[in-house]
Amino acid sequence: MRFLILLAVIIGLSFIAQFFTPWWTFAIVAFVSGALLSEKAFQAFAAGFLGIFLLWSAQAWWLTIGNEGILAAKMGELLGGVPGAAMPWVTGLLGGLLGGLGGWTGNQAMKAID
Amino acid sequence: MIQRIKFFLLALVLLGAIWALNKHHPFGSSLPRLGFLLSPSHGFWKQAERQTPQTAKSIRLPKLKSGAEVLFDERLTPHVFANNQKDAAYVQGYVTASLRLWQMDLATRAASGRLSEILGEQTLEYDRIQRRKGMVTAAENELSAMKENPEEWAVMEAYADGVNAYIQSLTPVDYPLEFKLLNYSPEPWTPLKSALMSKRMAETLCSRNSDIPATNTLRVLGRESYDFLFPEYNPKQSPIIPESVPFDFQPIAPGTSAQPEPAMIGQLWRQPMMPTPPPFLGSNNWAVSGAKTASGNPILCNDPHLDLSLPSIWFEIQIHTPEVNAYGVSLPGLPGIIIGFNKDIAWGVTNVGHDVLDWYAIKWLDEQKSRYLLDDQPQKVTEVIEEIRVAGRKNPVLDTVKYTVWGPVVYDEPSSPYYDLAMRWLAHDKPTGNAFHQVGTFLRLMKARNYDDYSEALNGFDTPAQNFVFASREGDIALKVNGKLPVRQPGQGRFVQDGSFSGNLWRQFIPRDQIPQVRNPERGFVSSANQHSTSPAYPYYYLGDFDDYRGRVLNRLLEGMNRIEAKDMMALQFNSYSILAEESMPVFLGLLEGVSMSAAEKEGLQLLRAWDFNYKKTDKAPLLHRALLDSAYALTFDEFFDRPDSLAMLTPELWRFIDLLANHPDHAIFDLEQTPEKENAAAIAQKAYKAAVKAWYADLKSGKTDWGKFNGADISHLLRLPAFSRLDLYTDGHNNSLNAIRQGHGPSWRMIVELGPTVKAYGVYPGGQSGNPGSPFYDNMVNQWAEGKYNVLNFMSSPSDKLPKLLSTWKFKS
Repeated sequence: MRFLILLAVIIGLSFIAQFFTPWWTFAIVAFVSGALLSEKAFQAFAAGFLGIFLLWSAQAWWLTIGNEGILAAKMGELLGGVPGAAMPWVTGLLGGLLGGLGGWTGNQAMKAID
Repeated sequence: MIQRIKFFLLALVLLGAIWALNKHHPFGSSLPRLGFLLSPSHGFWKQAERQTPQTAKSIRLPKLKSGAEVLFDERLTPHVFANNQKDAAYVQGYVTASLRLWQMDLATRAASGRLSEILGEQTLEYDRIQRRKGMVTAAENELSAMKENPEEWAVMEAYADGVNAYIQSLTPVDYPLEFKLLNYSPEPWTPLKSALMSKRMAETLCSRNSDIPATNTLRVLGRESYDFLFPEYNPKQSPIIPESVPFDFQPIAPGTSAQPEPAMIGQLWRQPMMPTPPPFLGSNNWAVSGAKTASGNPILCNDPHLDLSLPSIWFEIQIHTPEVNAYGVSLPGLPGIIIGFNKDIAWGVTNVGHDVLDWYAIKWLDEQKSRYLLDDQPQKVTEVIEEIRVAGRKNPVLDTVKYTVWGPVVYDEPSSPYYDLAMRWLAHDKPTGNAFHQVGTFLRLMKARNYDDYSEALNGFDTPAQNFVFASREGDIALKVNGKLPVRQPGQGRFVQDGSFSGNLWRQFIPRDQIPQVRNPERGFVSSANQHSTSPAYPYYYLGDFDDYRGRVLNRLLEGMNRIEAKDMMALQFNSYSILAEESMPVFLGLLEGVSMSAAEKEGLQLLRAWDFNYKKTDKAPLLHRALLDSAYALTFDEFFDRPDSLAMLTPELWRFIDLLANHPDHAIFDLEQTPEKENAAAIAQKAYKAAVKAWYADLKSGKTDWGKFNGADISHLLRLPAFSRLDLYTDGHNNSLNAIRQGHGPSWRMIVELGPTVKAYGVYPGGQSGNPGSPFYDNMVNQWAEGKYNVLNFMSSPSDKLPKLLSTWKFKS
């Protein structure tokens, strides 16, 4: 339950924040959520990772479907031969790793204060 | 304690990762800002446009005088409906920027030598040459002339305001993709940038010159051999102005005492050559009178050949105001339409090859190169310090450019303390004596109704000189070799001239009423394909870079055509017949007569014998012919290539080469330097043929089994990113045929306009209206172009006209 709340908070706040803040704000969101809401380090990491992975790859999917994959294919080629269809996953993975790291660091921050 | 260390380390990793992913070129790598770029709300995904663009948009433009409307048709061509000329330019600026902003930024940076600010060291030398060529000075001079014409200036300002209104509507997440990849922001647009676009075209079209290699070649060969190998006029040429047109006027005197012989210079020029535009650039245009068409209406056609690029050099647009209703292609960055039509007339351009760039040897009086000699008097140079900012460097690179009475000293060689070369280029001059200028010319053509309007409009156009073709609904067809052209002493400008003698200055220009022109000729058509403007009977001496084959094939084919329809004109623009092949093949076959050959060589010969001299994509013979021609040329002119002294040399023209093979087979030029025997044309042809068959087999082995695979047209992205380019397109053509596709060059816009009670117009260009690689309209016309197919152009008379598909409507309010 706690995990789902954490996940929802991270996804919700990151979704809203992205429209008027720099691209890395989601890492701060995951950090603060991880610090205030998580119980265990792994839980914080997993919520941060999954939350941003889902958010970013879903948005990327939505955009690439409307675009019929034109740009994903070109950017994949430009970034060293990533297939266009994999670009949303790559996008999600990068965001997810940073989100997970943010959550985990947040969790550790609380433990460091305790 | 351990907890704190753990947190500290994690925090460090987190911040480090954000920092690295937020940095352009982190740790000296070539990586972009990956985090920003991949973020779906910030980076490249923002440019993944939907297949169907948003339909309606309402835009407030504060400087608009009254409302305007833009309708985008099925190919994203904007149809601008405005209430006056100024508003139309304002909206044109806005709409063009909305689809082509990054290209406009890059082109003006390339023109003014500011690429290194964004691309770093790799473009530093390029930027330095651009500064030394005085590109910004040239643009400022043009601008100062435009300021003197209130109408033109208002349009230039309105266009810039429109571009800026669009830029101001953007936040960094909306910037075109390339800004994100290169990590920089668009700058405000200015009329100077529009003038730079115009100088960019001048650079492409009228900066070719061969003074330096010609001088070297003359020194090496001596006058007699030089004149023999480099005749100035091909007797088989079919000039633009038919020979039946009389030149019944009194020419003015050059007013110079130029010495055509560079005898006093007495030295070889070892400087590297300034990069010049590739020789494959050229264009075709023609108009046929109603007497030669099926409908009885005149038809006008134009296909300008340029470097093919994505985003495309052209942008289609229709501009409608109460006074104007014109359709055609514009250059992003310049207001108005360059090639187009209205309901009464159509016009088009090809380049005039006249040489308007000369080199002058400066005699320095001191090693600091601050004073030089002119008519025995010392002169001081004007020094301009150019500051080139380079991405990745703290301090700008400074370069001092010295301006002489001739123009800027482009090269100053430390190894040559007393001689350097200054450049005299017509595009530097402030246009004077005209009531209006380049932009004014196109504004007038857009609203022209007849021949007189066309003729009047051309009076404002100086440079780069163009062959303006014209046709009107009233039935007139015409062509003017239009621009400002220096009156030269015969021979002046072929070689480097003495810069210490003011008699070498150009002092006069051909009066506008004496430029070569033709109206309604007997033969029923006017045409140009970059060949010589006139026969040698024209009273003025001119030199330059002229095409020898396309003009001949064009005039020959048009001569034989009657009851012409638009589809015949389409076939003509796509025609790949080559007179070079037609004339060279029998000569080679004759020289190879009776020579014993291997089976492969015999097979090749059969292929060549059966060839119809077309460069169709499925043809195989052109591969072998190309190899034969290249190999024979290299063997014949072995004196010119791979010289131990690495001098830049001029090489003879292809028509002259074929002429030598056919008519001077025993000339010494055929003798190979490296062999003791004395070779003649037949020996060269045999040697070349054996080498050609080997090269041909190598082509076949590497998968280049036909002409289309060998010639593969490349349309490269302006940053040469293959992912954003369309490469190896399978299509017909050769640079010596009308469909002049040669690798990265070719027809950049094909247009056919039939005037009459209603205008019927067709067009296509190898690209798409959007400059965004993420848009379906980025390259949607490329395949059509490669197949020689056309779009019907939607020429609307009011916003309520029905379009095949209305993609979107933008309403502008003040």
